[in-house]
Amino acid sequence: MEEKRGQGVKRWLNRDVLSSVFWMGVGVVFVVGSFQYRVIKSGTSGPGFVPFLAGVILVILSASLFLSAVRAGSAAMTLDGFFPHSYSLRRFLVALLALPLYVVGMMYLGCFLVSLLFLLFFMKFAEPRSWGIVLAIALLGAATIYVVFSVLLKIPFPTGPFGF
Amino acid sequence: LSIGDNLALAFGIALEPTNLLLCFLGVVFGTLTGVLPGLGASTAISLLLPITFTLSPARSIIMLAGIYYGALYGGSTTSILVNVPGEGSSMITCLDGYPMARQGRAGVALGVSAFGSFIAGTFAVFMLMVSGPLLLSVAIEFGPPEFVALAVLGLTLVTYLGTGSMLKALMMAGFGLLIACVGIDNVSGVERYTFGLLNLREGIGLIPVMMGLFGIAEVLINIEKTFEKREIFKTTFREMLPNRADWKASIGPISRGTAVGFLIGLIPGPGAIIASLGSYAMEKKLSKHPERFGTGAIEGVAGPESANNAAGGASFIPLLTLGIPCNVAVAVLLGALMIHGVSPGPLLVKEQPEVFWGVVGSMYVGNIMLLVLNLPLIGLWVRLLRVPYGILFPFILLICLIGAYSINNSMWDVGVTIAFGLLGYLMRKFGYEAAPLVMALVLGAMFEVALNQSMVISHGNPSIFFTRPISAVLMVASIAILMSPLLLRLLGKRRPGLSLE
Repeated sequence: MEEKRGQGVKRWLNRDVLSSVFWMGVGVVFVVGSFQYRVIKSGTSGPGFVPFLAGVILVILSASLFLSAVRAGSAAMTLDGFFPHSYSLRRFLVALLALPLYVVGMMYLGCFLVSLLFLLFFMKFAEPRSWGIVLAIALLGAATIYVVFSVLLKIPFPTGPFGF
Repeated sequence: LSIGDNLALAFGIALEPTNLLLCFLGVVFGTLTGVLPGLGASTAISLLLPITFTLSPARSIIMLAGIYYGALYGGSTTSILVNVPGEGSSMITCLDGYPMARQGRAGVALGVSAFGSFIAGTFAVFMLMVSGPLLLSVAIEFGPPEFVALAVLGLTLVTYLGTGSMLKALMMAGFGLLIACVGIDNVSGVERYTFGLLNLREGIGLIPVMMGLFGIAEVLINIEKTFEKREIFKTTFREMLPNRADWKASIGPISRGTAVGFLIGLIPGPGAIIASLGSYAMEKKLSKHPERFGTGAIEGVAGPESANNAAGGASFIPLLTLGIPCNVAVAVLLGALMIHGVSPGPLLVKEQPEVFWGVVGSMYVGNIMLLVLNLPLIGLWVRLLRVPYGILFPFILLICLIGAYSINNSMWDVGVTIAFGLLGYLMRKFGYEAAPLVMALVLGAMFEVALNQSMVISHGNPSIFFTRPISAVLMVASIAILMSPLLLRLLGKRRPGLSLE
């Protein structure tokens, strides 16, 4: 019985159902917020008018998508195959972790060092390669990026412990 | 001024040594991004935008425009040699370009594609030069209600002509308008949806959004897949020159592709892609041997490649005369112009002729540069294509992050880029297109200001959009387009690509 119920939920819980609920929530937040800024002011549109209008449109369209997605059930795009290969989730999570770490690292290690570590990490993680090749490409890449952006274009990046 | 005077002005600006160098850098970098799969024109323009901050508006647009048409030009190389489209608009070129390469005719395919692109690109610039000043008289009639109607039509067409669900595209346009509202309101000065964060007072920047949605999201999608080794065909410069028979077979498709591409490029939407698909379909229909298409027919390369370049050039006409971007890459160009304090629109030709004519002149020069440089440079692009994606993608990510930082020297922009990268990745997974979101974000500010002005003019009466002839036509066209899937459904003639769901 439990298993049957689980299958029933799985049948209608497709990607469109999930995403429509998310966008409906976004729309509601903007519509509620628009009332703080006055939708109508002195008989014409106020600062809240466009967010109200766009929010209402988003809510209506999301609701329409939700209804059609529930009706479609498993005929719509289900959650199966969200990550196409066994390693897809791992690669995605590693990238997801490395991106914010780059931001934090930039503030403490400076542009050159953090770029070098970033390139090293991704190239080594993506495919098995010898450390020598990876290190050479990463060093060359980080140095080029540093010279172009920091030296030539004079973009003031945070400096690291070695002053660059 | 006569056409001769305008041409003299255009070439006077374009042939300045600095402008020539910038145009050269733009077209080479554009071709490079066109050649590399996964790095489109819009991302490339976003990446190089910070470099142009120290340049004058005319010089920066010369370089950025070069990237745009360079990318369109370079997309065919990957389609023909690797069977992977470097740009969406070169997708259809794979069908006949790659079989030609397998038959040992890669050089001819690349040559015809290059000459076709040159002819189409030059025709589009000529039309821009002729029609720009002519459209000025029509564009001057545009007031706030017309701009509102034009923005509505632009967004409607982008959602209608998209490749996925129209309902989802409309939702993304709505979301784009919402995020365009974040920050201080241009009309009332009221702070909206900033949640007390100082960084949000300036709004959400277009460039970090673009880099996230197109650069980072693309990499996140690609790293999930297997990094396959590609089979790449070699060719020589001599092999690229088409013979008499090749020219005879190609000249018709090039002419028709140019005409079709130019007309489609004027309409907001993914013009270059639709133009190349339309040209391919037309050539197949007109051919006495349609069965050859898909097996290496030269017409299947010549027509679509000319069409997508003509469409790319044509999209500059609504951009420079009306301030309306026809596609995402041109939307980024619009954003770049705005950052430089240039407002494209009816008065651009009159008030900042150096920008308009500088672009026109540089496009003529850029098209010649592309032809002269890229045929001999094909060997370099082939070598570049041999770089494994496992090495390439960390560089794309890194350039996106550093490019985002360099806009305002702010870590906040890097954070926004990463956030939109993640959002873009999820949007792709859930079947949402990013183009309507970006278009709405670009048009949002103009739309809101024009809407408020229209409401003040009409004392809050929305009928103003239907009582003025130009805005009425545009609004009725938008409504007709929006209603068409429903009408088609009622008539039982639903087409899958245009369905609401």
